[in-house]
Amino acid sequence: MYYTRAVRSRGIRQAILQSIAVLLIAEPLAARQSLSDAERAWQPITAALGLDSNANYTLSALTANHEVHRESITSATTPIELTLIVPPQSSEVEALTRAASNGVTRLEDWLGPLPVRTLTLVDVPSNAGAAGASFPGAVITSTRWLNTSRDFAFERSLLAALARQYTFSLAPEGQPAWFEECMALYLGTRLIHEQLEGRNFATPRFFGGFVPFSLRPVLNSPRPTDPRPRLRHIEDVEQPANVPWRAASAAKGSESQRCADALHTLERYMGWPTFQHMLSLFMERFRGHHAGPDDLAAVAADVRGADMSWYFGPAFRFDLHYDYAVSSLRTVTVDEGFETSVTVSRLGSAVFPLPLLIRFADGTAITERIDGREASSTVVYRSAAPATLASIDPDAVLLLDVDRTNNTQVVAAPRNPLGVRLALNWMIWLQDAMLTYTGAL
Amino acid sequence: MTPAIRALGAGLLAVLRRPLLIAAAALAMFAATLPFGLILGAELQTELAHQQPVSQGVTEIDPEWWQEFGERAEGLAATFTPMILGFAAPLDNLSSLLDGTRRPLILLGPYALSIVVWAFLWGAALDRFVHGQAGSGFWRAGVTTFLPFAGISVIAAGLMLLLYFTLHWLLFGAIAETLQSAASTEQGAFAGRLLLYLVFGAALVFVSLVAGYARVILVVSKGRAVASALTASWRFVRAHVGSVVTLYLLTGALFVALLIAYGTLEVYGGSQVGGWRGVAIAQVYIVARLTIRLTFGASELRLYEDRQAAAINHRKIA
Repeated sequence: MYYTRAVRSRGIRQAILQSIAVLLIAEPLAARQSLSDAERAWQPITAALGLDSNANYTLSALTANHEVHRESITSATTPIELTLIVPPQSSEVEALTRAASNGVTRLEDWLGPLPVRTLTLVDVPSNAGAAGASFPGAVITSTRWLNTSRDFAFERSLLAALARQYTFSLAPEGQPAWFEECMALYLGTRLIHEQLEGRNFATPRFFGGFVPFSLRPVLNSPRPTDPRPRLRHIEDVEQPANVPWRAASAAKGSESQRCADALHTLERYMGWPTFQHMLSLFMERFRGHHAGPDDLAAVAADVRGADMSWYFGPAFRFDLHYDYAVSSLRTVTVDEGFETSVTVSRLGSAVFPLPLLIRFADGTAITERIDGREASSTVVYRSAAPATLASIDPDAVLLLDVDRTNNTQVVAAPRNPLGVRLALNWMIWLQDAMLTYTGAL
Repeated sequence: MTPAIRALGAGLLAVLRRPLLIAAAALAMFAATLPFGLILGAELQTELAHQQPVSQGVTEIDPEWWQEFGERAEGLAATFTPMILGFAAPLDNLSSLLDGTRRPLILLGPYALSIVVWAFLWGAALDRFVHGQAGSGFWRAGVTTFLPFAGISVIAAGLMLLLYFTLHWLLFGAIAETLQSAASTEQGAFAGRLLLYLVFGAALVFVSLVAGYARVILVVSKGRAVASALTASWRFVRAHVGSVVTLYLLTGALFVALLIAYGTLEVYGGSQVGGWRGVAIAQVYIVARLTIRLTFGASELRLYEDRQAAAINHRKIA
């Protein structure tokens, strides 16, 4: 069913993608640049996309008078020619070049040579809403007028667009387009975390999206030593979710998102070095060729030396879902100690083997492996101290689990100071909201 | 010295001489938000206790958890976003007010409570500013004018809603889109939006001024009906538009100065102004904001008295 729908929309998307590329690329340049520069910069792209001359003068005006700069990115193989098309007298040329260069270097480290050796980077005004768009050999970002020193808005869009360069050949006519979009989403998010670790602070924008303010307490890309799952949904990677330049919708709940969650889960399950090796091998085998989840499963099996269909089968079937829960945790006093019984329930239709952690009041802990097939399984322990916590998937590996709040049960949880602090912060926000909204009253 | 500056100086002094009044306002606001805070706090404690062990015991905020919480949250909890932190909170509220951002309807509860609290507080505070210690007492003064003040607030709320459904819809709908798409640079797009903020802000200020002076008139000349006070306020604002607007802008400048100070402290304070210290600083900001709000009421009162006295003198001389 997915297959057929993808085939149809793919053709339409291709046409729309070409039109958008014209809006963003060909016309503005033809109109505003010196003809020779423009032609040289865009010839490969227009040739690759078979662009027609449908113009949008609004976007033309947005990139009016842009300048063309040429740089070179050093690569392990042949250097990449980088053409930057930026606003006149832009002070960001160096920063754009550096970000692109670092991004490409990292991607080549992970996945092998970039599929293109000439890359065009366009800096369009943010109100065009095109930051993050990517076409074979061309990436689009937006440098912002107002910035904070802790905001890396254009870097995030640029990195997301660069990562997409590896995915264009994956889904041909007839293959599910969500897999291409899923790879782009996963790689974009992973690259942003890698490149901006320790400095990618949440930076909401206020007053119509113009005024940024970085939130120092909210670090979106923590250091690798932080074992918690990283932020999976980054606005710069996923928004706008339904635009022609995407292979498929990136909206919440879409097939691409589910597939990206499956990749995040697999990364946590295998560990990054193995997962990265798998990606590298996958890109090497399928460079310039079409590929789908089954091909990735085959590579994963080769890398692990074991069949991985138990995971790839259900993880990429969108009618199945994962949900494990600790449905009961009971500790009772027995003759010489305590008896603890923990029941784990499989509420979803998909199966994943997971560890079950039980902690006791004296500081001891037991980890039990649950194969996850049973609808419900109970384990019973005798111990010197009562149980304080039971958690299925304590390391948060299964990010596909649709409800992770039911994975853990605690006995008399102590008050969490972070929760108190956040509640006080919210109360102050509410006081301010009350004063602001009733200021005229 | 212009009447507006005189009024602001006198108003500020009147408030600063009454720290108990500021404390009462701060306490009232804290108490008004406490029930909501306890509900949200309990929800947060439950959520955090059920985190998987890998995420427990850390003091840093977990953005992935927050994002997941936000996706599940309903009602008041839906307003629990990273924007509640520090200086982002006033930015978020001001920005939402001007942009007309839709917020959960459940917030109408706290807003209504704020109207009730301030209908009482304004009565008590303005009585103190007019009569000093010789007034009718904090509680009695607040109760005496409670209903008329609540009536003024309800009328003002109705007018504001009307403005949102008409003027705001027009300005930030088609006009904003046209301005934005016509701008060739981000600076140009922002300048266009700023212009729209000024137009809509002026309409909000007008409602605020008429409501504010109506309250003053009700306290100064007791026994008036709400409608009569609103009419008198409208006439007063129209007759002394220069002084009234100047006073508003001066008080507004105090608020802007407070915002700049808070923002600067947070940007340059680094980790020194985070965590629990950040909470304390944010509460101090609220107290300062309350002081400015009370100053606004006190200065409106002084300006009204000043202009009325000038008019009487003028009549005597004539």
